[in-house]
Amino acid sequence: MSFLTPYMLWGALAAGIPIALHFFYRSRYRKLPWAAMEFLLTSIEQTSRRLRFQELLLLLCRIMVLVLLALALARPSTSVSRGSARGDAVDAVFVVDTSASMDAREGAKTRLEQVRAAALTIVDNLPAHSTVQVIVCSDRAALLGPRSPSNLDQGRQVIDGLQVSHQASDLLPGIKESAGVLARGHSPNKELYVFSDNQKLAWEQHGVELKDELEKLSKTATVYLVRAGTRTPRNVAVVGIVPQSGIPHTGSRAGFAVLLRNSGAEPLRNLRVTLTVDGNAKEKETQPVIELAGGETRPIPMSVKLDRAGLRILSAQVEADELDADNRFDQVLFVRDQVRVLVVDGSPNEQKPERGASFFLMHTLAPIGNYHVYPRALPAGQAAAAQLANQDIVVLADVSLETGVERRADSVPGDFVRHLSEFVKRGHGLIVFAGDNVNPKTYNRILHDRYKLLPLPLADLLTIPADKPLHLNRQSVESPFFAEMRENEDYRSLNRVVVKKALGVVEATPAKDAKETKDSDAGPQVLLRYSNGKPALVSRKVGQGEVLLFTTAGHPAWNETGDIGWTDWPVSQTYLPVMDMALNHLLHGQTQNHNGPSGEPLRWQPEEKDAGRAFAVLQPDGRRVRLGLPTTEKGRAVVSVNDTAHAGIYRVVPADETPDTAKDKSATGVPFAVTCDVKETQNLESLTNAELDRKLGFPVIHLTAGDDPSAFAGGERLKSEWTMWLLAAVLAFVLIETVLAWICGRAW
Amino acid sequence: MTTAYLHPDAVAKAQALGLKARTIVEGLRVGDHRSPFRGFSVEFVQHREYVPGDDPRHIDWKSYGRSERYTIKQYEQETNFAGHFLLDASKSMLYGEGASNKLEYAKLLTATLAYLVIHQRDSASLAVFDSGWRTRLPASSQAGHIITIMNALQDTQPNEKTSIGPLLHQLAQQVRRRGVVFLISDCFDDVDSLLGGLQHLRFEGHDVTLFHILHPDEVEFPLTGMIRFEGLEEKQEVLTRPHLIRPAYQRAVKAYLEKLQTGCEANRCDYYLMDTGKPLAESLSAYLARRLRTKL
Repeated sequence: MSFLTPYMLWGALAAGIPIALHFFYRSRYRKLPWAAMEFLLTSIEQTSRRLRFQELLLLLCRIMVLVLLALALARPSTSVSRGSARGDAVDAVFVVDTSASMDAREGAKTRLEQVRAAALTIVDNLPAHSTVQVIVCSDRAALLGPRSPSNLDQGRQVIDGLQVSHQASDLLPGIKESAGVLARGHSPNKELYVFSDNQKLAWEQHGVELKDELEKLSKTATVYLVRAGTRTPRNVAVVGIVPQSGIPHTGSRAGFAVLLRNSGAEPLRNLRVTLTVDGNAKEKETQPVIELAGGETRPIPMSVKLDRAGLRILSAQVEADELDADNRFDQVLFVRDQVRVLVVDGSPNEQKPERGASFFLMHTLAPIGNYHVYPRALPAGQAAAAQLANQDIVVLADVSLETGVERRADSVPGDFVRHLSEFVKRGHGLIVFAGDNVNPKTYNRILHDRYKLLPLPLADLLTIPADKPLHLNRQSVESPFFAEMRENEDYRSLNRVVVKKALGVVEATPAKDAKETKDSDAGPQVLLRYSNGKPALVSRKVGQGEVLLFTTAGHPAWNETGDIGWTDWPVSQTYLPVMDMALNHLLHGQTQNHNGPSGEPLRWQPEEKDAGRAFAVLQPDGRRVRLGLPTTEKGRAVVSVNDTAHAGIYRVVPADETPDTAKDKSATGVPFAVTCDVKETQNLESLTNAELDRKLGFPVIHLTAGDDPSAFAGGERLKSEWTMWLLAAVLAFVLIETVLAWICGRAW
Repeated sequence: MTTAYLHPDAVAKAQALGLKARTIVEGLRVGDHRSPFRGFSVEFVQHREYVPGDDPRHIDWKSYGRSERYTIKQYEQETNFAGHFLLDASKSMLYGEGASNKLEYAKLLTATLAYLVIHQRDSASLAVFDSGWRTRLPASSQAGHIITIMNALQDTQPNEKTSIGPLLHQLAQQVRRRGVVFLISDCFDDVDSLLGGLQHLRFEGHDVTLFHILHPDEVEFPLTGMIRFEGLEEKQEVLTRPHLIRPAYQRAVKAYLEKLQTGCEANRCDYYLMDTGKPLAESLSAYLARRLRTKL
């Protein structure tokens, strides 16, 4: 318990007044000569005990009246110093969960609309001279204002303008932000309103830290949890578009798997999924889904015609349910006329080309004439930086990187490796195959330590008994992109591939690996393993590009006796589709900086000639926001779009190019697809009030948006304060005193 | 001569009603009041047998003719009475302001009644007392005696506390002729002792009237506020709020009055409560009228 106006406790000293008056009036008497003293003494003797008792009782009543009055004026509150009371100015901070789930409809209103109404009611019922600050919060928080906290009209405007973002729920950033805002408030009466649907994700991501922060705040402010939504909404989400057939190129009909997920527990029936390119309704494909079980994620195979090269926008959409935010999924796809691959052969063999490192690769990459992949083989010794121009992917096949005195004639020049690093970081792909020319130490020193290209450091050759060669293990595939290897039985022969030699890699410990993966998407990822669990294919994002490391050779490396030196995979029927998949993966990755979840900043490197131009972004809602000049990072101009709270298509355009001056209005600028964060709709269940109380372990006040508006009219403010009760007690004591005084016939 | 204690209004009303002795009184002269002595006046009482020495003029010859016995007719003798005014002049009589002062009220009453008695040619005596006799004037029916009484009343100053009982016993032994005794006091004394004294006076054949002089405050106790009561007779001080003890006080006074009144009735004394808040003429005329209606 604390007191809102503790200085009024000094008023309790007034309890001495009745005592002082008691003695004062005893000293103020008049003298009267009296004859009938005998009767006087008799009557005093008969009544003195009763009179003393009445006197004491009255004195106590009067003292209690003054003490209780002083206590009432000091305004004790059960909510400690955090408590505010009716009539007092309040510093109110609203933390509004604007994650995607707040877009769910219950009846005619969305949860956010219910929150708006509740927040406005609270503002309307704030005492005079109160302040209000609004913080929107999803997995990041932003203080929206108002600029003048005491201007409640501005506060109402801010609340009216609240919009749902498409980010995931997490209350921690908003609560942290509110701590600072509350600390800046001047009123001793502080109230924190957390408006949320209390989705499990919001409370459980950083549960302990969130509880600690709220508990700290609860000591200085009254914490209200205002619930929006009373049930789990029916929801089906489009959570991804996964390429299913080779490299998307012009003139082809590309297959994609549209991933649908039912985030509820009940099955959803008679769904319709559509897939379009650049929003072209004429070319859209529609697939019915009869039933999607609760919790089920199902890939829906679909295809679209790709008739133009460049960055195209794929949009998958499912018909409306109770939550619109995740019903559409956009993906920017780079459609190519042709794919140019430079294969650097570390062991070329002019006499017997099939013994060279590039022979099988070249045939695999371009199995037929007039194919959309244009591979070019190059002996490692002839590799030069200039040859990287116009290439999409580079393959290092059994290439020696020795330098200095150990440099061999077939080693690639050091200058080439340096430019190769830049090539990858600019967004291109690199595939590294092991082989006899690959010296782990040299590779680790140059490619791993110096240029950070190798996904994992190389180790020595694995010890593989000649009679027990390794095999590939397609069940080890976890990446959705390569999932077909695991799920498609046509790839079952992959497990029969013989691997006689393979380089080891130094895998990080699971804990460290997990941490790296969590902290950054650029961490290494094992895509395929051997039958002994060792990595066979490892990937790592490097800059805007990606590197794939095959720990075995890309050619059989036959020895003189005709036996396979490294692996028979190149002669296996699975080699071609896997390589095609690998190329597709790398090319697909090149557009991934054009795709991202809501909230993540978009980064784009303009051409050097445009480095001096100012840019703007066209947001999904049509607003045009000037971004200014590109920043320079490591010598490269970079345009960043940080405000990506809403899912949809963002287009970065030159600031001086207006829709009127644009040549092709439908394809203006560089497109970026921002999607609703899939984490958000993975589980839409909310915590009940009882669960929240158990989780927090300290008292908070629960309100429900959409309830009777009187619940938001500051009633809790009054409940937290004892003033009214004390005043009632004062009144009671005054009445008791009056009655007693009347009965006893006493004034003083 | 001072006539400060004679109010014309009171005197006029008293004269209109008159004051008659209600018992047989013994006087020295012929008057308006019945005497215990049988004489030869006009009021026949009885016959008695002639004895030598009787005046032969009083022999009833008609009776002798019927019974041949010498009998003498006896007639009731009418005489004057002596009114003994006993005035309490103790300090307790000092209570009250102005006309409602108990002592002044008692003096007025005494003077008025004494005037009335002397005016109808009865004799009046005055005895002022507290714990002892302070002033004693012998009975006299001379007109000038009233002046003596007035002067004595004027000179009376309260001195000590009351002690009535012994004085009444003393008076009963001293006054041999039966007369009318007026005790004028607030009676703040031992009631049993007082009643004993009254009983003694009645035993001696006196017509006793007790004028109980009380101030309305002493009966109703209407005082308020914090008051320090200082005893008029005792050196005692009490600080209290009178309204808080009023009921208890009134109960005590009521019990005291009942005891006193019952005691007077038992001794066939005339008890009359004189409220100093009421005009003397009103109270006195009420008393005299009641006296006319009642006989002891």
